[in-house]
Order: sequence, then C-alpha cells, then structure tokens
Amino acid sequence: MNCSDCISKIGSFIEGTLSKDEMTQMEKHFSTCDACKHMHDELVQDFAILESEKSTAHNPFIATRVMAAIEQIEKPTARQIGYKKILQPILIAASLFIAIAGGIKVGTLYSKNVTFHTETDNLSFMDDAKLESLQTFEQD
Amino acid sequence: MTEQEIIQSILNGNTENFRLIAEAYQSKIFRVCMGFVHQKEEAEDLTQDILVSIYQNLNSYKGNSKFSTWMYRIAVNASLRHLERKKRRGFFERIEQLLTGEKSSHEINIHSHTETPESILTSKERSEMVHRAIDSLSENQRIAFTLSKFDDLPQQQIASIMNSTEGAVEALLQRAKANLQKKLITLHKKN
Repeated sequence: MNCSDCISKIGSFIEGTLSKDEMTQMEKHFSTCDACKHMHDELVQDFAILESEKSTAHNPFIATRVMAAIEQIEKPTARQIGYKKILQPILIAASLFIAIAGGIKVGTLYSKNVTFHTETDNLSFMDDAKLESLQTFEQD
Repeated sequence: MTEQEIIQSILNGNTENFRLIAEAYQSKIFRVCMGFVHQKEEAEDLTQDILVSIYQNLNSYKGNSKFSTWMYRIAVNASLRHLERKKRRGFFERIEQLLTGEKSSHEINIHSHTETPESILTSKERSEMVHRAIDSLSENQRIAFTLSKFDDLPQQQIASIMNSTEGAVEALLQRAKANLQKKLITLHKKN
C-alpha cells in the first residue's frame, strides 16, 4: 500500500468500516510511514472534537424555558379573550346607558326651559290701564 | 397517551401537554443545532426557538410523515436560516470587535482548569479548523452529515427529512465524508 491509497482510506480506517484485510494493510503501512501515521493521529483528534460536540450535555431546563416562552406568547390572547367576553359587553352596555340617560336628560331640560307663547298669551299680559293715555297726545 | 393524542390535546387547548413533546425532543433538536452552530449556548437558544416554532406550527402537521421527521425538517430549516442571519451579522460584529477589542460570545469556550494556555489554544485552533471544514461542505452534504453524525439517524429517515431517496443520501454522505477528510488533510498540510 502506498501513501496515496493510505491517505484516501484514513477516514474509513478510523471509522472501522474497512475490510479486515484492508485494516491490516493500513496498520502495516502506519508502522513504516511516519507521515501517514502523523496524519492518522491528527484526524483521530479532529474526529474526537466532533464526538465531544455530539455528546455535549444541554441545559436540562430547555423544556421549562420553552413552556415559559409559550406562556408569554399565549398571554395576549388570553387578554383578548377577557376583553371580548367581559370588558366589551360592559363597555357597550355603559355606552348605551349613557346615550339613553343623556337623551332623557337633554329632553327634560328642553321641555322645562322653553315655553311656547301664543298671540293671546302675550296679549293677556297687557294691562290696558297702564297703557299711555290718549290724552297725552291731545295736549301736544 | 400516544404522540398523536398528545398533539391533538395541545391543539384542543391543553398547552401544558407540549412539555411532553419538548422534553422528548429537546436533546435530538439540540444535537442537530450543535452540528450546525458548534456552540453550546447558541445551540440551546436555537433549540428553544425551534421548539416554540414547532408549537406555533403544530396545526400545520397533517400526519403525512412521522412527527419526528416533520420536526427535524423544521429544525434543519431553522438552523440554516440561523446560519444565514449569522453570516449577515458577522460583518458588523467583526467591525464592532475591531472597535471595542472585545471577543464575541461564540469565541469564548469553557475549558478545563487542568488545560494549559497552550493546549487551550491548540484545541481552539483545531476546533475552528474542523468547523471550517464542515462549513465548507455543500448545504445538502452538510444536512445529511449532521443528521447522520450528530443524531445517528438512519439513511431512510434522512431521506424522508430531505425529501430524497436513500441512494441519494448514501451518495451525499460518502461525498461529505470524503470532502471533509480531504479538507482536513489539506488544512493539516498547510499547518
């Protein structure tokens, strides 16, 4: 086995996916070639990094954090439901009450303060005795 | 209670039952996110966003595919969108870092107290190199590789998630591994 063959198969050798015969040939080559052996050692360390990343333990509270985030998302919806179910009917009823009560109040004020006087009503206040005497004109 | 019954009860307003879904799938989604973003805190935030998104879109799940397949699709799409946004933000963040001299949160990793500064630097450089190699894969190769490597999903399910065939996924995985190995070897030779 030459170096080129060996290098092309290093990954599979590390994974252990080569045939038994190829594994033996690789080992034999490593025992005689320092450069390939060095490259093999480097790649073993590289793959170990991937393994360590793979086995990294995560924060055990991710699910709790997720549930807290979901609760935050759901909160405005709950408020909206509260508004629709409770606050909205109350506001509509209050608006109607204010409108009706205001209408009645305005109507009552209008009927108390404004009086209609007919022509005969105006005449009834005229006191003939206090009217200017015709004699005044005669003297002039 | 079956998964379908849980979903139905959530749709009927029993929101609290979503906790069962979140607890069952948080690790799976987190691993997918790690495969794409490579950073724990970022992956956790992304996992949370994805689970909230799954809750919000639960009524669009019609049961035509397995729930996990539907969920993985959402996770993959959200992760890709996240990377796209991050790429756009990257330019402005780099300017900010240059001006303030501060490190971005993505660059801060937790290391064991026993590690020397030199070994931390070497480990950081190696991590960045591996991430660069993964990020250089085509989108489809990267999706297939992440789902296979980080979540150990069978090719059949990866094919369902990607709306593809098993044969196509197998070819994608082979190309992804070959490209990754090639890229890493090139980077090591440069160093």
